[in-house]
Amino acid sequence: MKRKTKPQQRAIEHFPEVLLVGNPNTGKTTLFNKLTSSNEHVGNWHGVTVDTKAKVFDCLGQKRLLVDLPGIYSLSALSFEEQVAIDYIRAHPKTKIINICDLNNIQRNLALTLGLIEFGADVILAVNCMDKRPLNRVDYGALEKELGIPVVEVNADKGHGFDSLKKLVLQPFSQPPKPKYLKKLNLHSIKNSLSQKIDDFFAVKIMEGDESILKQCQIKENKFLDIQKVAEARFDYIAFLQQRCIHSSGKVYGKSLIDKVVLNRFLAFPIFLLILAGIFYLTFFSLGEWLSGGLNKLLDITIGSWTQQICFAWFGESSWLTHLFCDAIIGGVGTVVGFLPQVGLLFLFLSILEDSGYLSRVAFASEDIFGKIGLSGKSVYTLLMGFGCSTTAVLTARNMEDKNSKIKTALLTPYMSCSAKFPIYVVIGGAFFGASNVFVIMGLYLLGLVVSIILSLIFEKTVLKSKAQSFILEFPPYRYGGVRRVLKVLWTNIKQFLIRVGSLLISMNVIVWLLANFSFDFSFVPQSGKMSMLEGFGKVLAPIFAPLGFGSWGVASALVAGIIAKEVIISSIAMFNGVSNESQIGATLHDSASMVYFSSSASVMSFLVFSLLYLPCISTMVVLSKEIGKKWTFIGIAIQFVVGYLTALFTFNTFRAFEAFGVWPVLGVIFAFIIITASIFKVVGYIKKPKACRGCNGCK
Amino acid sequence: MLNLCDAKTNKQYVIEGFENLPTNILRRLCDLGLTKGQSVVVSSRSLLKKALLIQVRGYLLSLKADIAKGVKVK
Repeated sequence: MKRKTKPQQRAIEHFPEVLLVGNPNTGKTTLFNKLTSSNEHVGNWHGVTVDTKAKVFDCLGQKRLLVDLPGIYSLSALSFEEQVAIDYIRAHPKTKIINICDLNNIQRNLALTLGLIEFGADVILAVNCMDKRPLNRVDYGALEKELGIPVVEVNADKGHGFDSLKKLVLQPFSQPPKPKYLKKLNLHSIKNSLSQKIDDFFAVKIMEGDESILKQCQIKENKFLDIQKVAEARFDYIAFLQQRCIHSSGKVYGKSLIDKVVLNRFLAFPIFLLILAGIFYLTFFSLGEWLSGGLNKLLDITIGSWTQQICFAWFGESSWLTHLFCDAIIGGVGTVVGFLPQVGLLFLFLSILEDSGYLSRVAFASEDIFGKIGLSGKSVYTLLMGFGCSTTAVLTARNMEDKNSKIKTALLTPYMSCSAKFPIYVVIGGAFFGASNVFVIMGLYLLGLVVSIILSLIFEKTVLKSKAQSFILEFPPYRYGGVRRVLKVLWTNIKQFLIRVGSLLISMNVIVWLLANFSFDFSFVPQSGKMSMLEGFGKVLAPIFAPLGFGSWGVASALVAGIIAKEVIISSIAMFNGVSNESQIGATLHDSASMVYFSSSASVMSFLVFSLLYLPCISTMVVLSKEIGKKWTFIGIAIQFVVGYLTALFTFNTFRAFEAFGVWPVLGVIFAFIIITASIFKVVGYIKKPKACRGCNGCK
Repeated sequence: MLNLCDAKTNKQYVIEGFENLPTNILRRLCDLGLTKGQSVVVSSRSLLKKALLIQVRGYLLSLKADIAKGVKVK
């Protein structure tokens, strides 16, 4: 649930709750956003909402608390986010429920409606019709009569039918009539055989083998298990409803001609890689670079020079306040603000991918590869979101069906190159590699992916063996959100970025600047010439990084500050070197007189690799701790630091060897080393095998 | 009778029953409308044929081949 302050929490608890329940991807959050004027994340993908969200809305003059729950298919969970929703529904039996159904797939959606009626919930069936030509037409009056619950057609996106829906929400609690098909299930035999008194819902769930209900009823051996009988009874009744109330076009929901190419066994993965390459090219090297350059120039000639003039006039040229404003705020933060277009574009493309319905296809195409390394095709969504922001991506690991897969996916997400790391690659890599930096950046994105694949394999073989994932995933139709949606996403991300810069980054830069410019006895360092507090701390840490090729206290301090937010690394370096934009930093990084400089390409590569891998930012750590527990968060962080350190050490020494001996001889040695090691493993494995088994693969 | 996993692409089959599926997976398949007598079509397979895309009750659903092995069709 969205975090609220205690008085706010107490205030909203007074309002009667209304639960939004439905299958995944039916438009629950769209309806929630429209009713409560919110801006919660939506997407055309199974399981975008992974936690409950609550907000008060005006229901024809009366206040109600609308609770948006993750999507479910029934009142028995298969994944973590489903458990969240089901626990909430079961804990609120007398609460009004808006069950939102997709008109295009109403036949399947009605199975959940029947489950809610079996539960005895006060249900309003809201049939969401967002398409101009829906695949089904419904006789709402007849459906209402058959089900015995109110039915209303809405358009969650445009707000059609909301008045009718609100009128129904205000009606007093009424329990729906028991479905007729329950008689066929012979539930009284279950009820009679148990010592405790249970209702029909419990009896049905016992037949379905629901683990939590069996535990609650203390049933160890379930002789009543008959899942198919329950399902057949429900779907027979839905077939009856379809005959009487639903006219179907006969078309398959989600099917598209594009899938013939996109889902082609051999083309699917290359197409995905091509789309990713296109997104990165547009974001970072063509359109994004051009927009970013323009913004940097604009900032320089406007805010940069104006602030300097005002500070000179007000505080004087040598005042510490002038330094604070010009170096910490304009210099440090200005460097990061320049990347606003690129960050905005990246999030925009990711959201277009999410809205399009293509991600389900990607998950399908990558299931084979991800299955081999102990993940699921569904992990693609989490890892892809990790390119945007690790913190929000970690939350989506709730889509996983078992605990170990969830832990693994969550732990691997921070290895992805999030948007906050990008400025580091551009500024520092660009200063040393020029036009070739394109390949360095591509290599870094790829490295994060490769490291996470290797770690996943290690986890799978050792402590986090995952259960076989079912990969049961519904395919949504292809959709285009429209220009309004695109602009909204763009604005939301720009706003979030600016808020982050305006709050976290400015405050962090001010703190780092104060520590870097004042000594332990609080004298202003440029005037007193004493050692700054940051220099004192940095010098303690610097020897740790010396073997990686960047053992100066400035770099060490920037890396420590970067744990708060990765953007702080580059803003701190800009501040330390007393510059305010990307091109100026580049020149200072070569200059040994600068506070932060790199002596060779090897140390730059090592620094970039370390920045990519070393630690997640503090907000990701908090979310990790909440999602996978303190123990695994601590282990994950420790592993990440060690992996980051060792990979950077390897990179530094390899690049030094490249500089000394040339690229090809060193690559030859590395290749020979890999071959020899693999051979040794193979030989040892062969020797360890019993003699009779050698050369035979009959049993595994 | 054969497993859904071995079914030919774009050919219609009818579900005959389920075998060796864990309770939670069978329950989920039933929740999604895979019931006895229901027609089903395999639309596509992934590169290594570890995942299947099927058409059932007028919508598309992907599932792992290991699970499809437990769905008997005719």
